[in-house]
Amino acid sequence: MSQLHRGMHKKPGMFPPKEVLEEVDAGSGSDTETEETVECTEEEEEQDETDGLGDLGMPPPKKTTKSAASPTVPAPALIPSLSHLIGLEGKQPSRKYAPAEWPQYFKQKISVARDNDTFNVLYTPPDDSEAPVYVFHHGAGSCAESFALLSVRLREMMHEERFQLAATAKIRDENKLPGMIAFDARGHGFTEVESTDYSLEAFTNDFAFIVANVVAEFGLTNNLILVGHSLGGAVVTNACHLKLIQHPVIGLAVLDVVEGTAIESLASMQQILNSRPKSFPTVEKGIEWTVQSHTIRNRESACVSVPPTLISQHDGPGMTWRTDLMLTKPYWKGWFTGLSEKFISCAPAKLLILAGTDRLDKDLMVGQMQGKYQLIVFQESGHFVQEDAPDKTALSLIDFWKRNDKVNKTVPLFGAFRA
Amino acid sequence: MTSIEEAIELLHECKHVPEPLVRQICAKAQEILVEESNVQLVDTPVVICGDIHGQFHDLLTLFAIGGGEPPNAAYLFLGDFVDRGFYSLECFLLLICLKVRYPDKITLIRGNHESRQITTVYGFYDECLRKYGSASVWRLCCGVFDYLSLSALVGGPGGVFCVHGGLSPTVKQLDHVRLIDRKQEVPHDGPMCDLLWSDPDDSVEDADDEAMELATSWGVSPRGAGYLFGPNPVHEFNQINNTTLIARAHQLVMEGYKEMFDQSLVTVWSAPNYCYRCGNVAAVLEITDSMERQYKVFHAKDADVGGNEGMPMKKPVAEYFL
Repeated sequence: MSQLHRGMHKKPGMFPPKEVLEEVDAGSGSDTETEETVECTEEEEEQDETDGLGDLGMPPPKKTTKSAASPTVPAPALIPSLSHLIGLEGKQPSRKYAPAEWPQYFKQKISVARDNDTFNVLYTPPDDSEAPVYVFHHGAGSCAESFALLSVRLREMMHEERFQLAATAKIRDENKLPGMIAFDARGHGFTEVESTDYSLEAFTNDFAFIVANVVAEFGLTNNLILVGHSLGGAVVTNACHLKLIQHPVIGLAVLDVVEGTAIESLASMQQILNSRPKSFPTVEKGIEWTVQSHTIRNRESACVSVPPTLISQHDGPGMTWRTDLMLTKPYWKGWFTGLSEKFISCAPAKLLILAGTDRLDKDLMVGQMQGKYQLIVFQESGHFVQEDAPDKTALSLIDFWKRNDKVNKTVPLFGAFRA
Repeated sequence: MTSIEEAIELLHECKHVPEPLVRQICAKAQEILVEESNVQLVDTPVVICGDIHGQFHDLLTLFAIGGGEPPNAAYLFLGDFVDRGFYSLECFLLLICLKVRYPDKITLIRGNHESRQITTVYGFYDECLRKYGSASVWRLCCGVFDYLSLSALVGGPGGVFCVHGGLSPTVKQLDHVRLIDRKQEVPHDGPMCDLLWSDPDDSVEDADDEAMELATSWGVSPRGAGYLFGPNPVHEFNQINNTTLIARAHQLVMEGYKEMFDQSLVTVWSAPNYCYRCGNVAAVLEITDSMERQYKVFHAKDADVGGNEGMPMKKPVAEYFL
């Protein structure tokens, strides 16, 4: 248990030690037999007496749940560990919005250095060279942990599927679970970059640098599937478009971003940002707000993805947003301009997952009806599809890999398959 | 006046068709469709039409271009009657009313959008909910979808094989289509899925002679369902089945139609200015008694866009998206 939580008991505001390769043994979703719970020692986790979201000038939650109406339950300070991952959630006497950390979801945390910059990368190695490696880029204001739950689900579901296939004797090899690379982009999470250039070009170059570096560091020869959410979708598409990834990329998956609708809504973006609370008394309150405002609709995911987006306030108690998104405002339009055209013309197989409704712009509409890419709509999900609907996203990404990797081909009755 | 004629009259004026009447129409349509073959035989002359997608006013234009509504001319619709446009229900009801009234003058085959799963995402479900306050009419229509035929053969031997999407690597002969149990929701894979989802692909990249053989055959469809097929499977299929042309829809063609692979395959698209914003023209293909192909191109009605003002659309609320 100690090994699992090395490096866990830090204040979220602190930058982690720069020594590379904190390795943990447990923590991936495939290790589902572990059911330990962990005592929590962080000071901000003491019982918060006020029930006052309103006191902080926060907008009222859109929907109040039972727990929102009553103060936090004074339960023993426990956070459920892997029990979350195997469906025992809720059976633990746990506090609802207790922060969780990366070791439950990734195998390693590494720092990738470039000049004076260091990038915080979360990594789970693939089981062998035939398994795909998913490379993630989060959206603006988010962090690597936005893909924590998805990463675990991808491995769990691939494992289950292989188990079922093995049972029907369709395959022999049971040991091909995918790898995961997620990182904090510049200006986000525990990555430290001196420059305040938040252009698409800067993000794209960072992404290509990280991929090249991690691939080389671990000697990966696996096929890559690039997955970007929101701004991250624009970044991975741009990297593909400019052919900056020297490694075989067999798929490009973009989560909930469409150029036309993004640029149309930029006007209201500042207002939306201004309506967010400026600070929270504790990390836990930040998680609570995120879930109750429906920004992230999955509590388990918010518990791990929100803490790295908050930082201790300089001038006073409590936490504030780590990334000041208003600083990135001059770049917003540039992030999304040309996205649809680039996406459609990218060479690898393409998947677009949208939340809510099918809100395609003209280029994407024409592209879809010409069969240029795959479109999936998750009607019940909010913007953070990988967090709100990790199971569905994982299944879609597994299917996407299976269709597009050459190791998964069937024999036609006539004609032949392309290599 | 029969109830079917009454419904056709209401639909011509784009008026609400009461639910009990919809129920009658759907029941009668099912009775007729259940008797049809998976490869429905169709006589010439016939006007082959591609995707409609709920563009009702354009459907009326199509009939005017094609020689008048049945029974004045015979039509074969290649599926995708519903979704995306504002009048999916009116389009589908008019087509099945005409099918019930003049079964030999109109043939309807199934598109990938005639599916429960797809219509809940792309508009038809919401439209029914909006127009009737419940999903019952949508459910009735989906019941009809399951009975729609999968393909047609126009003009007998030497004729035209008509399908919504394209070929399947597991369908080598027409008899393979006839073996499919079609009365079900469109599956995620297998021959029935492929016929409704596949696309032709002529992007043969720089390959040497040996690789060309492969490059011109089967590939993975970027759509996530069905396959891509090059010229080789098309020529082989036409030869094995004694057909001269594969007519299909499914892909937006800005010019309305597109012949490929030495004119052995054609894509026909019949929704002009698709989704009221794509700026394309539409076409239908008439196959004459002498098996000649006559394409007729038509444009969107200006009034169509204006007529849709005030139509409630699902507009997403502005939310955080960066």
